Amino acid sequence: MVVTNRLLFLFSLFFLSIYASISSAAILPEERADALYHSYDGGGVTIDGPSVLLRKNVGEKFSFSGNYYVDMVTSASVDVLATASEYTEERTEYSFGVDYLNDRTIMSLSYTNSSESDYDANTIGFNISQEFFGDLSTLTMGFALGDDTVNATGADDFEAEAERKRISLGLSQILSKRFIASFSYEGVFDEGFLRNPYRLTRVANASDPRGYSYIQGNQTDAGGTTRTLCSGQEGGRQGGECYPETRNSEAFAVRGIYAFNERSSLRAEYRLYQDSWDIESNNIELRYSHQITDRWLAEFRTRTYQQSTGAFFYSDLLDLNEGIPEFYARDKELSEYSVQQFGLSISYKFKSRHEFFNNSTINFSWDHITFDYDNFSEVDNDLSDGESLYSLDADIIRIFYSAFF
Amino acid sequence: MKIFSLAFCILFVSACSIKPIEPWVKAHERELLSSPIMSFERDPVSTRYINHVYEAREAARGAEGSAGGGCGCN
Repeated sequence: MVVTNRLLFLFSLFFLSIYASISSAAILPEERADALYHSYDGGGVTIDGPSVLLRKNVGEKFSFSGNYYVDMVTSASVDVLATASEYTEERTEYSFGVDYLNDRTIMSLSYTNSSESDYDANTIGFNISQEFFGDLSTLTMGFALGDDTVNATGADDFEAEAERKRISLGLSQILSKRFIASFSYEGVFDEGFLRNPYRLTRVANASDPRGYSYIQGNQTDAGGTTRTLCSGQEGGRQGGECYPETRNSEAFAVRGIYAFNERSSLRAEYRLYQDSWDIESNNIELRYSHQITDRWLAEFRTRTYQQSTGAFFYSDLLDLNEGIPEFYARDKELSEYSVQQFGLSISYKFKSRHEFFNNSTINFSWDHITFDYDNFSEVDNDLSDGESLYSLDADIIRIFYSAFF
Repeated sequence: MKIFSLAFCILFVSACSIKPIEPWVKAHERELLSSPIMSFERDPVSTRYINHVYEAREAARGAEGSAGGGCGCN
């Protein structure tokens, strides 16, 4: 990974040094205010809430932004119902950022705090973007550092930490009068307490009427030896799941937008992902945008996500007679599954000028997502349900008003 | 050996005669590129939300164009 980072650094210096002499000035992000309502409903989980963004320039070189975001969660998901009952909670997130423009360069600094009753996360980020080659190319680099504190409801003495680092590199290139392409790389490096403190692992158990039970605390293996599972990660529901304490991942994405004419375009995206837990996935997305009139803009999109390989320690039903593994988990996000999504958006632009802003838009988006799991079973404490592979459908709604200064 | 020398000379001369690549889309030709239909992400607050939805429900993370803190998935 050190080698990769050095290569990225050298790559960046190379591009910057070659093209810096033939570029022109960049511009700050657009001044705007957004008020959004979001809703997710699927799989026994409903999450909704507001998000408000304000971005304003100060002078010609500085742009300040602030974002307030809330998730109000009611969850009776298949995970929760397996060993617990429905719960509600709220997550609040504040973000602040400043951008500094210097000729062809924009440097950005950001801070984000996310807090909920059992999880607190703080992230600082630094980004730099450079335009060159007559403004046809934009190179971006970023670094973010996150510090998370994990607690568990019902275990007042439990507290654990996780540290997250992100490094990103992007190159956007105007290829013609109607074609833009971009490449993105991002590496994420996690260390610390990375598991869910509540979820339990399912194990085969012939003495239980269901044929399985959930492990917690000390376990006795086939040889009669009793072990405290996942020692060193005590807390929450002890030994419920046992994760490695590090996770390194890399994602690569290519994107392109092509305009068929002045009113319609197609955006395509392909992303490839792999990590040190042996998870491999990719996603493809297509978005068709159509400017119906000067005021109405519509978008149709479809997206597919394929997680072809799950984590090496994922198990839907663990057999302790085969030995107690060092790591184990029954997190459906670590299993093998595929996701299909389609959605549409419609936007209306108000042209009347206001005392404080030039124009504004109102926007509506709806998406439908289907998750089909290949090795995660639908089980809960109701034996009449039987057992089959799990799937869920979800609807996502975004309604927002944007004003541009 | 002579063939290699000749090939090297031809390559060297050819390389010297190549003009630096110039930006091929001029500023006045970018009207269509500035249209909303040519924006990778038109609305940051909406994009940030949908990326959070993906990151909470898919193992993949990174290279999605925006970053956020927190989990919201316990």
